Amino acid sequence: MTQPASPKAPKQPPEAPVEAASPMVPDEMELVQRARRGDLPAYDDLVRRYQERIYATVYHMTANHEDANDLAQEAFIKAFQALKSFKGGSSFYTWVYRIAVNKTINFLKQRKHRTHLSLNDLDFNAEHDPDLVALISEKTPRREVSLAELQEKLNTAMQKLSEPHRLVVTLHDVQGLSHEEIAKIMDCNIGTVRSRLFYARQQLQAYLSDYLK
Amino acid sequence: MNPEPENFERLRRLLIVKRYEQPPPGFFDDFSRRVMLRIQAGEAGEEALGFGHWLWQTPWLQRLVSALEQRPAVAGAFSLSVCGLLLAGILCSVAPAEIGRPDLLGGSQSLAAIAVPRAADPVPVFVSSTNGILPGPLQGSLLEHFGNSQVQPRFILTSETLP
Repeated sequence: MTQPASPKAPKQPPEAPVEAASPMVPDEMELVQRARRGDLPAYDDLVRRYQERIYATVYHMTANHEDANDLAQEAFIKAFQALKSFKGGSSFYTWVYRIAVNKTINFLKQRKHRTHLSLNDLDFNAEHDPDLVALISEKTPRREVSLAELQEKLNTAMQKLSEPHRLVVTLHDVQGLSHEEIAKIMDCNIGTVRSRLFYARQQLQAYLSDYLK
Repeated sequence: MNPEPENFERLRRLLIVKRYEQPPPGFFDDFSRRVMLRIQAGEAGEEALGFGHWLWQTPWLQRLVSALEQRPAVAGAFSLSVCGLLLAGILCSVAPAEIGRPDLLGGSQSLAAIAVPRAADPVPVFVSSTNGILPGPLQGSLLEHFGNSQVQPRFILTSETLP
């Protein structure tokens, strides 16, 4: 089975954008058709293809592993149940993404006052990332900062953003999706995506000013 | 608005940290299996639930439940209206018995007059009968009744009748 983003590969290499998802590859279309007829192994194949990206998006939105696990599973289950209504106008990937994003936003609205972070560990490779090494070792007022601390501060700052702004930053700056793809997922125009991204970055810059001087 | 002049390069480098956040090892090995199990369990449950599941799948019901969960005021108003309906139902079920009966009897008798037998009325006695003919009202006890009856036994066992 082909997996575009293998979990064994260097975990989401920096600046590695998620593959363009707009044209539906025939293989994927075939899997969707089979899954629509109730073929569970075909759907299992589709889940394996996109599980990491869907999970990652939900995780970056919730900053909680358990919630991300539940929501990602529910998104795939809902997608399977709604497969009959999937027209194929967009890629299956974009469609599942939209389901996951809507589920996550509804969930976040309900848990408005709960801000418990349950963060995943940083991958070992993070310590060797030249950008991060440079960021930490540069002469900043918080020179002593550790990667774990940075991670927590970053997640806390992300949680201060509104859901649409957090989503745009997650999809663009963390996951590497294009403006066009984000616009499709969020069902808005590209201008809105750009302006939300700009505003979200400004906010984050203000929250993390100590680490960005 | 032109977002380009703003330099977010350092921020973008900082956000790289998030790409290295990984779930526990082996998490994705089992993920799709859990999804499949839940789908299968859901299908089995769907068959078992039948009408209930179909009802839950209806969008307006989902919207109602979600509105009730998110807005306490709506939940309060909804529960009040349910209580009101219940009360109205109880009142409506009592009212026809009181209002409807006198109409059937021409409005001359009250409900109490119907329910309580008058002293002059004969007290109904229920006696079983195997020949379909209802015997007359019994006077006194059952023993007295059978003692006074004129029915003679057909066979009397005596020493002559015995072999």
